[in-house]
Amino acid sequence: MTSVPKPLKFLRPHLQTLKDVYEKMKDKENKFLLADIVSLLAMTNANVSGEVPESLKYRLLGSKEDIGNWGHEYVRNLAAEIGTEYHRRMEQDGEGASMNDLMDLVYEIVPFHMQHNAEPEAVDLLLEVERLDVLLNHVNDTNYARTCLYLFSCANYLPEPEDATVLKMAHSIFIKVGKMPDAMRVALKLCEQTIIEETFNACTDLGIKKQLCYMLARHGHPLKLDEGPCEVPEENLDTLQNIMSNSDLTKNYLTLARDLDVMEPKLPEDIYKSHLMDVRAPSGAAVDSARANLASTFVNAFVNAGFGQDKLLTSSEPADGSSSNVSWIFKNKDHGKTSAAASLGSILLWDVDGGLPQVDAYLYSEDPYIVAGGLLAVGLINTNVRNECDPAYGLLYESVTKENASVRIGAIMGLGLAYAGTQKEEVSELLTEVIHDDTAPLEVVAFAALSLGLVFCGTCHEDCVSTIVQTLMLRPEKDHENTFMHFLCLGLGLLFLQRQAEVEATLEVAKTLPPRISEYLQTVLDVCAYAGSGNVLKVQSLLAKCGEHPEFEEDDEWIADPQSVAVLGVALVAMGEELGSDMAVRAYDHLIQYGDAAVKKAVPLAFALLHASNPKLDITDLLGRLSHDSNEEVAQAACLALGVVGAGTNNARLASQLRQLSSYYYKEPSCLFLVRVAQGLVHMGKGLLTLSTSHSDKALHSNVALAGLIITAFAGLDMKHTILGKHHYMLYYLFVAAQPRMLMTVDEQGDPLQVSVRVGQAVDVVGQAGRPKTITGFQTHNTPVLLAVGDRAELASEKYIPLTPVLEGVVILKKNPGWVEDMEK
Amino acid sequence: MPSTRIAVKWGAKTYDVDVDLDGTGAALRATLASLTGVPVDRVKVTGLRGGRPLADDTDLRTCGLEDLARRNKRLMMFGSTATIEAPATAVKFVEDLPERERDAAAAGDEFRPGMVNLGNTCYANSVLQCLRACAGLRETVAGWTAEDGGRGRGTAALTSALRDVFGDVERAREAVMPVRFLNVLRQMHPQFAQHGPGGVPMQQDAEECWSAVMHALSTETPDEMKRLFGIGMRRELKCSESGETRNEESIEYSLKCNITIEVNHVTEGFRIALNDTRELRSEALGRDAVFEGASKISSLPEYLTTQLVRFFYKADIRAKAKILRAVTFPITLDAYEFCTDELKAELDPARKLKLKREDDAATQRMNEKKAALEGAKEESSDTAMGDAPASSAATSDVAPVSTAPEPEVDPLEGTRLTGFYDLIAVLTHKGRSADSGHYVSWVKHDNGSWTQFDDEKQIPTTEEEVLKLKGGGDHHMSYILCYKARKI
Repeated sequence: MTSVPKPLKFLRPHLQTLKDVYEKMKDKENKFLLADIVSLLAMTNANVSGEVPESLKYRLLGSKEDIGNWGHEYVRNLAAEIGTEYHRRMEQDGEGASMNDLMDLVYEIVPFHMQHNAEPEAVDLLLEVERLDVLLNHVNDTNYARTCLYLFSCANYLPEPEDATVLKMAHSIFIKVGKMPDAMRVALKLCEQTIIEETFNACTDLGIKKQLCYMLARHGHPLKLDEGPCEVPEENLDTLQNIMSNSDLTKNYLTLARDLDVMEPKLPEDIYKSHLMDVRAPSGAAVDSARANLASTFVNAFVNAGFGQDKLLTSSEPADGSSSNVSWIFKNKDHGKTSAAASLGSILLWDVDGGLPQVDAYLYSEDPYIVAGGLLAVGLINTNVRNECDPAYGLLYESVTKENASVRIGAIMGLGLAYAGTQKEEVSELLTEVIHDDTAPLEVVAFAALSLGLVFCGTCHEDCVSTIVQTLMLRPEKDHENTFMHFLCLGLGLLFLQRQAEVEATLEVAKTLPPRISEYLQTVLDVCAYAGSGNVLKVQSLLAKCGEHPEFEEDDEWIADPQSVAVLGVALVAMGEELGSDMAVRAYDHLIQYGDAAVKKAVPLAFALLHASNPKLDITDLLGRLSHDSNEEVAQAACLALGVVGAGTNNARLASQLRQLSSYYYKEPSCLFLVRVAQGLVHMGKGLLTLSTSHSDKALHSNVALAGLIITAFAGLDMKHTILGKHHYMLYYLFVAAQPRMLMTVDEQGDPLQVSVRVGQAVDVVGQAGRPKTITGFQTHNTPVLLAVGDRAELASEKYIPLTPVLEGVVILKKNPGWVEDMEK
Repeated sequence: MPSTRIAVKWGAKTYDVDVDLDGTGAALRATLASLTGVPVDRVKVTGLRGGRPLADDTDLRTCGLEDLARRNKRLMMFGSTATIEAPATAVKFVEDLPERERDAAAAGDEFRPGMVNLGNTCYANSVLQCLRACAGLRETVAGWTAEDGGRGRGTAALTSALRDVFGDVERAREAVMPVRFLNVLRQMHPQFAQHGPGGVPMQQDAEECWSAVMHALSTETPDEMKRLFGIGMRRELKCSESGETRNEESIEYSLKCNITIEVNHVTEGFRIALNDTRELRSEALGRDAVFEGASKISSLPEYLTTQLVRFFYKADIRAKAKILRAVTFPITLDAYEFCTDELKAELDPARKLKLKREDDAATQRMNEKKAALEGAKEESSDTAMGDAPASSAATSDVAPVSTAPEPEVDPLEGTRLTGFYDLIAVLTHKGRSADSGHYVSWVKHDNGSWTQFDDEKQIPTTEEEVLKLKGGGDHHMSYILCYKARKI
């Protein structure tokens, strides 16, 4: 009652009397005025459920004069009561309930809120009465930002399909006020092709259009610019296409690396730092260990990723005293050579023009393992980068139909990597044939399915879906025991990534499959479709599945396989927003303690999905504990997960933790291998890369990156047959998610522009009054600069205006016309 | 003849090629091959309309070359002249070797084989590993020959078995099985052949095994063993009642460390063990009387073995109980205080020399540091050269005698005992009684690194870890310590 005029306060005990007087009052005009006063006083009364809230009731009876006259608190209270009343009427009368009187009031309250910096209240009220469309008329240049920020963050906590409604409203507002990059962020969050295209087309300014291209490229959602709905005039085509196809990624990345002075290649030993360990593994081994060399291959590939030079493969003077630069490949055994040759692709990552000619020679080797590696390298180089000459397809497509299974897998996986997220029809034609071929080995078919899943992830591509489903039905019974059946299922799942309800039909089909794969496939489809949705009901049902303790014979361990998937599923569903993922971490604590083996071994991998490239202390501690688990599978998964969690962070604490692990496991080659891989991951790209699927202020999740992580996590569920077996090159799927974690500023011509920026911890300012600071504990740097997870950047001066509100990746800066140079001095 | 000019990019180079649109892909490929020198079958061209690479039968009219040329687009060509050659000899991997040889291959020259546990024989394995750590003993045993070749029974057989084990270890690339050694040991000392319930050989006291071996060796090579392990003891017994004194001389092969409630460090244990009191027949009194004894070391060996008396027979439970008390032991042990005065006098010159050398080394280090500092300070000044002889003259004034005999080679160098001993091996026990639990040995190598030998396993470890073997918990705890004399 603070805002109530003093005399009225004394009337408070007489509320009932006043009400009685009101009933008896004859005089019309005074009766209205009395109703107003009762309405105000009734604010302090608790509402009785099932009745019209009193304040609202008397307001409707009252004089209807300007609502703001009675102050904010009164308006806020009324808004709340409208919500209550709305639901009461809906319950009572169903859809047809008359709401006109309420709506009139709403139309009065909303503008009041919007004008008085109370946008969240307005949004809440409109959400309650399901009339969000009203909002559009009341936003303007001054209040759109806060309104949309609130809408945007609300969406995470709303059920389907309301979240989409809210986002669409935010999108319309941004379009209305002409904030295209913001609109594009919302469109990408909505993940609807037509809206994305509309937004792109609605943008007329070339500079902003370039910025949109950068955003789309980062998100891994390129649009076709030369034809179709997004066709752009020919004079701009080259520039825009260049940006959209990420052609400059390697150039920008190397600029960043030069700026930070990390160009010098690193050897695996620089990462292991075995001289720092108490107990030294004996040096001067007489005989090479294939396992250790393979680990070094991966470490080398991860650490020098994208730099174009290393000391094992590309160096002209070999570091380890061997005579020719090729021989490192031959220091790997059999299938190890595949990974070794492919590691060249990761070193030359994104450098299509300079890299492919270097890899080319490997395609003519007599050793099929090396050829396979070369093909994989071709794919890796083209990951997330598109070239108008389309070299990857040209180089790979012949080998897809080769005799040798390794070569085929190399080509197929290469295609998947190169065209991840591009929806290239040629690839689907090529690969559906492979999948249909019932004479092909299951491994080949499974990799084909995974590649389809990557290329068409989250598209529900009909041909691909039906092909994989048919193959699942037709493959002979004995194949069902093969691990790669799981990847066939996963390939199908990826097609439905984040498509939520659209998966239903396929889910029904899955129920008709043989029992051994039916439940597995259902779980995979479920978790993929609802990935990132934050759907609480899904999380609950998945947790229920994890909590089961099925009893089975020794040979029937497959019965528990769907449980492992469900564990990963909890992470996938919850990863959409922060609160949900925090809750998932707590739920996992229980699973670690009470879960069966199949559940436990998936928990570390689930952490890896939730916290990729985000080594929070509690997570690394937990994983550190699990990495010493007596159950070998849990320990191995935890080792790998530590790597993914710390990927590209150079986190010193994690590095020393892994060093300790490496001495702990020095007698166990399998665990040691994974620890080594993890060490390589932690220093991925010498700390310039991230595997995080989220970007743009953690608001957007790249489907493609997510698919890459999911495949790796699934491979981690059965290490014995994948990463620790003959298919260790599946680790290269991680590169789909790899992106430089940088902020680079360019001018409108696309040339690097050095400006000073403040980088600090992001602060959540949703719904806060005024203009709060968005970062805290900041430091000032010059661009290009590295951004850690949870960091946010802002320009230090107003000399330039960024074309996008979120300073991440590549940002175009425009000169501020109002800037006066002298102000700086 | 319709033709068009298009740029083709090959690696870093770009070629402008006139293409005859009536021709086929084969013709274009041949043209490119002749331009670049790449074999025709390796020429791959991408960037054509439709995304397919150029094939021999591709109709060039359908490729949209004109359109590309108009837009200044380029084709991309791949193909390399380089070949990937496999190394002449295939690389051999550890994983290809039989499993039992992998450890050796991975460790290279530093491989030190373990010994296979043949049924509760960790006591013997750990004793063998500790004995092997004594280089002097290895030489002695290797040079020893028996008249009958050591085939028979008795001490000669045990010695030859020991020699064989050491020989095996030297050559081995995998864990050694000391079968013969155990057989001979069991023949000589049947208590080691006892079997527990279920037919498994029983765990034995490592110290007993150690003594058995020592006994055998000292029978076969008495002189050498005395030099290597024999501790000369002089015991003075004094009867407080009668005032009688007796002197005894004896040779012992290990220094006992008794553990009581006051003992925290091995030297305290030695003191208690050396001052024993016993009842002897007193001639003067004509009856048994209490004699207070005080033992001193009259000669020091090459290898000083000390035994921590952790086990005592407890009558009430009829078993050897273990004292878990933590007793710290030093890395460098000084035996000086336990020596007789004569021996001390013998040791003194060597100890003085050692101290002096240490001092000299320290001064030299300091001088060097000083010189480096000054050198840095006045690098340019030439006066430093002139100062040098003067300063050396000053030092010779201070100690003119000691520097004089230095130049010629000292014949005694490296043979003088100092009373200081360095730890080279530790035999530890883990468990609650002597006849159970687990014996492990920890051995220092010439390069200063330590290895824990746990039967066939060898685990690299550190000095800090070794110092943690002091006991006081359920961790491995020291039972026998092996020290090597530091000579100058």
